[in-house]
Amino acid sequence: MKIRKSFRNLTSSFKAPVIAVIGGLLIGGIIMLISGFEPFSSYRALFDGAFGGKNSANLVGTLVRSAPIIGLALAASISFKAGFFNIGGEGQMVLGAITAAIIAIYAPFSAPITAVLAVLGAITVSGCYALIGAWLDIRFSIPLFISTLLLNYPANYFATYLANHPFRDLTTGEVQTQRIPAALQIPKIIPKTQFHAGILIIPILVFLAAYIFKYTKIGYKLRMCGYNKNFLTYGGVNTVKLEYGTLFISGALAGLIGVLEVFGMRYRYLPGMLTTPLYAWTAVTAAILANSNPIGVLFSGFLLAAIQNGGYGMERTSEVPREISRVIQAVIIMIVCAATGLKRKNVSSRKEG
Amino acid sequence: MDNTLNLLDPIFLNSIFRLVTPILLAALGGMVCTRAGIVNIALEGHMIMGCFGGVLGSYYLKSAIGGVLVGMIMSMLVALIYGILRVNFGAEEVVVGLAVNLFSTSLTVFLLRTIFKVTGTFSSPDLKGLKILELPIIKDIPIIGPLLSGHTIVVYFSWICVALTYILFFNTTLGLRIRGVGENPEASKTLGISISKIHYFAILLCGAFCGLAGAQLSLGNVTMFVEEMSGGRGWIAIVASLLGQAHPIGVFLASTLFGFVSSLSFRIQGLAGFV
Repeated sequence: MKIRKSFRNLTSSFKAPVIAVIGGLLIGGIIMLISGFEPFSSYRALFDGAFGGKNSANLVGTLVRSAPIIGLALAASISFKAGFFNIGGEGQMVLGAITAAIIAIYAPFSAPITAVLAVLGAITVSGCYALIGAWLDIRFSIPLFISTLLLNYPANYFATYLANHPFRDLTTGEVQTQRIPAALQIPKIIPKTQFHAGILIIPILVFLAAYIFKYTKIGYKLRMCGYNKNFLTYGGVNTVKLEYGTLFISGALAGLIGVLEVFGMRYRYLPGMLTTPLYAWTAVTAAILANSNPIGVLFSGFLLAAIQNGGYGMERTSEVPREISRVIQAVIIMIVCAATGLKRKNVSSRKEG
Repeated sequence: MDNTLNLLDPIFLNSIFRLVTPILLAALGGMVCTRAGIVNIALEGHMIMGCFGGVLGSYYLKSAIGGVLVGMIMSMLVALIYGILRVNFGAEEVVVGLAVNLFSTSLTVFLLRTIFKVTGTFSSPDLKGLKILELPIIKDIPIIGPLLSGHTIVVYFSWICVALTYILFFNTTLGLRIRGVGENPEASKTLGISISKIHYFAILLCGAFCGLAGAQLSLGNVTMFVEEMSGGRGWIAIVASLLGQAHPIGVFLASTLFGFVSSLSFRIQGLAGFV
C-alpha cells in the first residue's frame, strides 16, 4: 500500500511537468508550422542538436550548458521552497563572477590561497547582495520578487563598468577583464569539449540540498516557512533570521555558479557572458517546473538545457530561428502555472463548498 | 564637442516627452491593473509586442496609424493569454508575468527572423513612421514650445489618457468597481460584481496602453524594430506606477521624472569627457 501511494504521489508530481513539456513542444510545433517550417524534421534536428553529434559532442554540450542552469535553479529553489521569491540570481551570479575574476587576477598570493579567497570573496559579495532584497522586504515590505529583480540591473551595469573601465584588459580590443592565471583555471575532464571538473560539484550540491531539506531541522524549518510562515512564528522560530539566512545561501550559491563559469569556461569576465544565455531565467523556469525540488531541478534543468542547446543545433541544420526554444520554454512555464493554479483553485473551492 | 550642459536647448527639451511617453503609457496600464488588484509584471512583454506589431502593421498596411493599431492588437492578444492564465486558471501572477515576458521577447525575435528575414534590426524605407505634429500657438512660445510641441499623435494622446483614466477611476461606476475589486474583492463579490470581468477589463486595457507605448517606441522615437528594444522600460513603468501611488497624476509625474532622467543621461553622455 505504502509503495503504491508513494508511486501515485510520484506520478502526480510528474504529471504537470510532463504535460507542460509535451504542451510546450506541441505549441512550438504549431508556431513552426504556421511560420512555414516542417515541425517533425525541425524537432529531429533539435533532438540531434541536444543529444547527438560526433562522439555525442552535443550531449556533452548540453551537460555543460545545464551546469549553471541547474546550479542557479538550485539557488532559486532553496529560497522558493521557503516561500521567498528570490529571482535576482542573475545579478548575484554576475557579482560573484566579477569578484572572483578580480581576486584571481590581482591577488598576490599563491594559487591555492587565491582560489580560496576568490571563492570566499565571491560568495560573500553575492550573498550580501541578496541580503539587500531581504532587508527591503523586512524593513519596508517591498515584495521580494520586485526588489531582487530590479537589483539585477545595477549588478549587471556595475560589473560591466568594472570590466570596461578599471579592470579592463587593454591589450585586447574587447571589453573584458584580463585572463586569470593558468594555475587557477579548472582543468577540462573530457578533451576537446568544455566539460570541466567544476561541473561535478553541481550534482553534489543538489544531493546535499536534498538531504538538508529532507533530514535536517533547518530544512524542516524552511519547508514549513514555505507552507505557512505564521505557523513558524507561532512556534517560536525567528523568521526574520530565517529569511536573511535563506537569501544569503541562495545568493551565495548563485555567486558560486558565477565563479565556476569564470574559472572553468571563459577564464575571465566578459559582460554578457552570463546574461545573454539567459541562465538565470531558464533556472527560474527549471525551479518552477520541478516545484522547487532539488532532485527535480536536476532533471528540469537538464531538459531545458537540452531544448536550448538543441535550438542552436536546429538553427544550424534547418534554419528555424533558435528563439523557438525560448518560446517553448515560456509556454512550458505558462502550462505549469495553469496546472498548479487550477489545482489550488480546486482545493480552495472544495474547502468553501 | 560642446562641453556645457545646456538644459534649455530645444533639441533636449523636445527629447524629454519622447522618452516619457512609452514609460507613461505602460505605467498607466500597470496602474489600472494595480487598482484592480493585479500585480502585472508583464508590461515589458506587452510593450515589445506593441513595438513589433507597430512595425509589422506599418510595413504591410503602409500606414503608421495602421501600425499603431496592429501593435495594440498584438499587445492585447498577449494580454489575453495573460488574462486567461491569471483569471480562468488562477495561475501565480508573477510567474505568469515572467513567462509572458519571455514568450513575447522570444516570439518577436523569432518572427523578425521568419517574416523579415533579418537578425537584430529591421528598418526599411517602406516603413511609415508617425508624423510629427506641431501644436499651433504653443510651438512659438520659447522653452514651452519645444517641450510640448513637435511630437507624434501618440504623445499627445498619452496626456489625454492621463485625464481619461482619472475620469474612469473617480467619475464612473466602472472605475468605482475596479477600485472596489482591487481593495476588497470579497465585498465586491457580495455586491454581485463579476471580479473576472473587471480583471479582464483591466488586463486588456493595460495591454492596449502597453501596445500604444510599444508602437510609439518603434514608430515614433525611431522607425525600426530592434530586438529587445523595450529595453527594461516595462520594469521602469512598474516602478513609476508604484511611485505614483497608482494615481493618474502621480503616475504622470513619476513617469515624467524617469523620462527626464533618461533624456538627461543621453545628454550627459554626449558631453566630452564622459564618453
